Amino acid sequence: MPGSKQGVHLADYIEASVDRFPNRTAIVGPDGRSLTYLELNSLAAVVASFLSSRKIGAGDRVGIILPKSIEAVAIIFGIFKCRAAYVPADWTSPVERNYTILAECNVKALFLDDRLVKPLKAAAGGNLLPDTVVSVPYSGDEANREDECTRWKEVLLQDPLPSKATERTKDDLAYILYTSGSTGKPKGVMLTHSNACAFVDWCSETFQPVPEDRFSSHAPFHFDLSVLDLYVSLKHGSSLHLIAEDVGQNPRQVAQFIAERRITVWYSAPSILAMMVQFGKLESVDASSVRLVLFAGEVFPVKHLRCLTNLWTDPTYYNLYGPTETNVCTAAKIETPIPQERSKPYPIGYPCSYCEAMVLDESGKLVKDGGEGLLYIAGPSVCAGYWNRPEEDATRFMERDERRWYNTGDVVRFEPEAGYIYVGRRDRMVKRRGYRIELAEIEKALYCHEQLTEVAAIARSEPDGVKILTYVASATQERPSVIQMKSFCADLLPSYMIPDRFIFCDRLPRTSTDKIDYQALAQSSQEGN
Amino acid sequence: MNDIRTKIRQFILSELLLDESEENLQDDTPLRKGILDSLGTVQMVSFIESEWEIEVGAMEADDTNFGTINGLVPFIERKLQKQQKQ
Repeated sequence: MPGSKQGVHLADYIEASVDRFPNRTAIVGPDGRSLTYLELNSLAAVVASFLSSRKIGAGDRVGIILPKSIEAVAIIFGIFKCRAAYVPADWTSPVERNYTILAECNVKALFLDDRLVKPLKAAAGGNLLPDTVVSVPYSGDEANREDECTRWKEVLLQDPLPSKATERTKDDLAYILYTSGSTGKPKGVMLTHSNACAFVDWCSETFQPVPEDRFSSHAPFHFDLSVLDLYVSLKHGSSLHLIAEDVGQNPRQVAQFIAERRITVWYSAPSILAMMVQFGKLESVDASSVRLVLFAGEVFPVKHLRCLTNLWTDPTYYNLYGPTETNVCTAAKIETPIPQERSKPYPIGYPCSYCEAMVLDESGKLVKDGGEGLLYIAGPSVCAGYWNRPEEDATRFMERDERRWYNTGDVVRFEPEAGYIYVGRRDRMVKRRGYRIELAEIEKALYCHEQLTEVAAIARSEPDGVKILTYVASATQERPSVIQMKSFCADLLPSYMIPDRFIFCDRLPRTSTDKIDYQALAQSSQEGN
Repeated sequence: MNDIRTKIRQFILSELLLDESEENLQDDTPLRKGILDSLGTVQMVSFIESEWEIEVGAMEADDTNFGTINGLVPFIERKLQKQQKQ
């Protein structure tokens, strides 16, 4: 079948689509501007030529801190064309956190929203940004440009790099996605083209995309859900409709977007779908174009999923599961309608065709069906490892039966008639709005507050999702207000990590070995304190 | 009009700022800095709509209208006045 050829490099997909559908619309930006496949490929070739002129090539990392736009997509493919890897950071996150990411993986070039040039330079202090910083205008004018930045206009003057000017290999690094780290610092997950292609090709078989499909792009590009949106759509000659970050958090605007753009394939974390069910006025929205609803990243509360499937009766629904390190590795098709009496969450399903899964107990012994244990995944989608974290690689990856396995840290149970059932975590990682949050990263940020002497963050599951509670002790009688604490966190953490509650204590409970007693805090939180 | 202010304050304190003392919430406290996140914003929209029976447009929950209590109160007042004229 055309379009379902197995890929070795993500840039091959778009180049094959250009040959077949040069004049079809490839991407439509949040502002309505669009690019055909020919235009997208040409713009990507111009970006590649510019990067090559700056001696950027195989294995080099190129940072992207941009809002969603057609240019950002062209930049990604331009990076691929010269065999470099992109490192996307959240342009709405605090600049200090983004600077840490760029510095950690030593980006050689950076495409930066022009409004962020000054704040990022300030965050860098006396340290240097990469030699090549391209300031990309937010609104067409380049008023904020700094002299040492290359202007986007200058990049556009380059002659395009011919296709396949460089020898690509499947093991080229494609992108590094940063997720919250248990040491308190974000950690970079390195994914190769073959990692991504294994997943994209599975999507081709499973979801049968066609050129007439219109994919939504709800997830930001630093979130692994964007891999499906970007590459599955463009592989098949479909069109990709980018949703701006602020619109993406507004359930009514998202619902209108789906109707206006006649979206056929939707993929997101469950949280926005749940918000749409509750606040999106879906009963007055025409979503008849939607044929597939895919969700991943966290548990979808069944009451909201039932409402959605009752309102949108035509689409096929899938629950996809997988950490950034493996991309999607199990999937479950949801049978609709959902029975009224069902309250337990849906299973995460069976392994995708490219994956193997096993469940081990703490001592490394295989757990029999029905028993609980840690889920391990092997196969071509399993990432190359963490950027510059050999100790983390050693704890999360292992060789067994001549395969390389990733320990997801997720506790599951296998039931032959349902597949894998997600049970929970034994560590301090939680999920909110589909994002991974290491509670230690929140604590590290709080310890930066000069008045706080002790801090502890805990998560509490509530019907509408996870709440993050922080217990803090202050050095002085005069405590910072909750408003001050929230504002302080907003300067250091992405919005999804800002704690819901701050509870001041004289001192935090300690165990007999003088460690913070998280169990006591968890218990006290359940009692409503 | 003070009634609007009081109800908005109560909503923020009971739904978004648990554990905060009432006097710390000022009319010009920036709500978009860690207090009113995406879920908080839709909860606020839903509260305003049911409390005053007005409709908040998809684009109206912006920094000007939802940035502070000083933005929210006149926003709701304008909506109510417009409704009375119709």
